[in-house]
Amino acid sequence: MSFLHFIVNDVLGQASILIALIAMIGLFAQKKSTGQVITGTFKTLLGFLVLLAGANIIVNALNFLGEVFQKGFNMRGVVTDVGSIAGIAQQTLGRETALIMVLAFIVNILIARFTRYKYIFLTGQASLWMATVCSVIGYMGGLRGTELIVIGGVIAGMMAVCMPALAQPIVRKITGSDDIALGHFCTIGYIIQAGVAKLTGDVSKSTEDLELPQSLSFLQDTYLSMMVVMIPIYLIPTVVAGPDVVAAYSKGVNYLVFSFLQSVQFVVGVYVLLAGVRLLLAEIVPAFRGIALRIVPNAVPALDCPVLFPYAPNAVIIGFISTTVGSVLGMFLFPWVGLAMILPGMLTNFFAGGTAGIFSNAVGGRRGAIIGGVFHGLLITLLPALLLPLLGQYGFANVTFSDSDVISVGLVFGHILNFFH
Amino acid sequence: MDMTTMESILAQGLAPKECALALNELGKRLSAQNHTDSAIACWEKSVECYGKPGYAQAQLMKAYNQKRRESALSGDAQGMEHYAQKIDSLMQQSKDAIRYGY
Repeated sequence: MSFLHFIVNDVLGQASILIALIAMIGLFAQKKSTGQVITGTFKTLLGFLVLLAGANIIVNALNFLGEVFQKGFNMRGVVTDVGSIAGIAQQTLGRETALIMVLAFIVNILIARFTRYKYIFLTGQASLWMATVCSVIGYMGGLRGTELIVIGGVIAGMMAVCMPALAQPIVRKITGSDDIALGHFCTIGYIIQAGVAKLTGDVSKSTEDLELPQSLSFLQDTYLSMMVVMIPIYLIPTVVAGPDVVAAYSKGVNYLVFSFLQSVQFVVGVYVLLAGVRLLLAEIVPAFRGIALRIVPNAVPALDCPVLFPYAPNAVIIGFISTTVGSVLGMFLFPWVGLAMILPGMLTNFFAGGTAGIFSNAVGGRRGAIIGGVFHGLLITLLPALLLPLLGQYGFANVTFSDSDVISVGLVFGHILNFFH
Repeated sequence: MDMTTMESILAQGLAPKECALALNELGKRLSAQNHTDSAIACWEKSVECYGKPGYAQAQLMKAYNQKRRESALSGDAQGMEHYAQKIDSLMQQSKDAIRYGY
């Protein structure tokens, strides 16, 4: 019994080991060599632990931000970064998240195999974010164990098919075919932005007819643009809060210098976390892809948002900039109605904003991309603010989810669970 | 100017953007004649010449996906994985080109 207890609780109860074993099963299923199985398994284990290391850096940086924000402005400042909150959640819900992800893969394959919706969702990190929100919201709503995993897995699996299906009419317009689909859990934001663009834009004047200036090109380096945004976000409340507040953290370092370094530490944390995510998913995604595409050979792969970048590269940049403008407006606007101050997440603004720009250019041209982008920025600032109360203890980490589909699932799932609780 | 082969286009020493355009056109002609592998080679060379995401990347995505699908339908697991990795690399290249320049 004690050996069984050891295996179930001490070995399989460790999320890092569990997810490495999942990768190992996937590698065996692909008939990889012994060397490849061992390498892949250990890389996955390493990736998960690197992810947790990144999460720790982020938590420390955000604890400081939360303190200076509260003391300086007497309000909560919450960063939107889906990777950061997912990393923090893995510290306690890693096992549940891993199993939800596996079940979601199975549900996706079953739907694609037996219905006319042949989409196979292949964006690993997006699957991880969706599994995380299901586990966090399910846990905060009172679900535990098998119940949490099954319900979360079914929801995540259905989203893996529904969201590509929802986006496909416009993806078809962009790419000219149904060969590929979009696997990026920001589709609700894209559809809403496209709606605004269609109403306000002029499809005959495309973003691709423009010659964009190179002067702002450095902002497209997402880590650099994250730093450009995070430095004032840290420094301004620090100046207002004053050196006495910072003294408890800074161990004698000048308070502004300390704050500046903390802002960069946040970016470091995100960099480390995402490096861990890439390593973690490097074996799991090919395994899933190999299995899924063998079971559903006529599958339509739902791929990450860069699949659309070649069709309208200028729209990516315009969408990014206009979404950022909207998110900054929302940051100042929504606290007036009692919501937390949601600080812009530059990774989301780039990838989701950029892709939304492509969607809105397809139906509303460059005017639609600009107006729709500002609206999109407001939306992706409002949604995280609405989700915060449902996150419970995870919401106190001063970071929240950022992708519109992930947040929407959280909102609907969370309110349904609260209704029954 | 001889634009009938990849080698003849590259031999002309055109500016990167013009070279890419010529290779894109050649790839399009080859694709229309069902010479998919040759078309892929042209578009891959085009991306090497001029990395801004555009026509070549879009055509490569379609071509790789078609090849991947053919491999899946014929049970060629290695072929499937080969073209899936090509798609992954192409997406990474598009992402990096927009973020860091081309």
